[in-house]
Amino acid sequence: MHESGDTVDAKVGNIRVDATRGRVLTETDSAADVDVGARANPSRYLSPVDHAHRLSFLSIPAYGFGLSPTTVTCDTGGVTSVKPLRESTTEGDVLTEKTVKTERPWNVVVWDDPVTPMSVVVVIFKRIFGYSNNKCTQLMLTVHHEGRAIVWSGNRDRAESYCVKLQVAGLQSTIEKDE
Amino acid sequence: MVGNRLFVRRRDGRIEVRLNEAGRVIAREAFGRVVAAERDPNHEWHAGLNSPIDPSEDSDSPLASLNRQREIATNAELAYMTLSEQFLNDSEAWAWLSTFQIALRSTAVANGLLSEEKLAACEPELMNFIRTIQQFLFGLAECL
Repeated sequence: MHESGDTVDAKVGNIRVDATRGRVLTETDSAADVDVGARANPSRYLSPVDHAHRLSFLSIPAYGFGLSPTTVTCDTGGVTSVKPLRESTTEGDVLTEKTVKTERPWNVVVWDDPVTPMSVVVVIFKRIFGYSNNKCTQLMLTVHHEGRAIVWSGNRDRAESYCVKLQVAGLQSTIEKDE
Repeated sequence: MVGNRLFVRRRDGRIEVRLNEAGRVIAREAFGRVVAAERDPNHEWHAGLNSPIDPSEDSDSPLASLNRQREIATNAELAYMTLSEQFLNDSEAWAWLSTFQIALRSTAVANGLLSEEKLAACEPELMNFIRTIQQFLFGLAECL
């Protein structure tokens, strides 16, 4: 709290309260500025109602005015709605709905053939997809036992590219849209 | 064990080719036929090099087909050019493996060897060629 003669009775943050005039002063205003400023542009000072609202908004107990410590309340003088100092945009963000289109992925399928060595299939999978040795072996065994295996899924362009790479490496592969 | 291998990974990263002259003749024949099949639409292996990418479409994307053709030809030509080399780097060894594998699968497709039964019943000379290419592939796969 900062007191200076009779003019300033309370100070909260950067707000000074002039008890005798019922006005709130900013911290940078000097006594001369207040008098000159008040005559030149009265609107640059907060009204007691605004001041009380700001103090209650900050939930800071105001001291002074010769009263015991208490919380300043807002007397709106019959006005039922007071515009908040800061409007929240959270509600608008949450309620925003976006439509996301999903498409079925394309699968790269490798087919079994009776002549290709198993170890070659593993090496080709590792080289093209960068999968681990275990995953490549698992995929190779799926091809061997089930006749085919889906080795990659995703968008069409990449599926086509992987399919071409597998064919260049000598494996029988195709692409198909996921069921 | 190293003495029995056809391809050996050296400590400096290169892959040593230990094929004798007979093995290199077979490799030359395989690589040469892939290069020829890629250029000749009437070659018996040509169909095996142009299998469908998306069977649900009447024709594949021309860009994808062109890309496949270019990469197969590049690998086959690189393999053919390095036939007499004693040491291969990784890219050359990958070109050898890809071209051997294409030769193997094209042979199977051209002769209708699409099942274990048909493979077991094929002619001895053809079976010998297939087994030889498979041995080359086993050796390369161990190094890559």
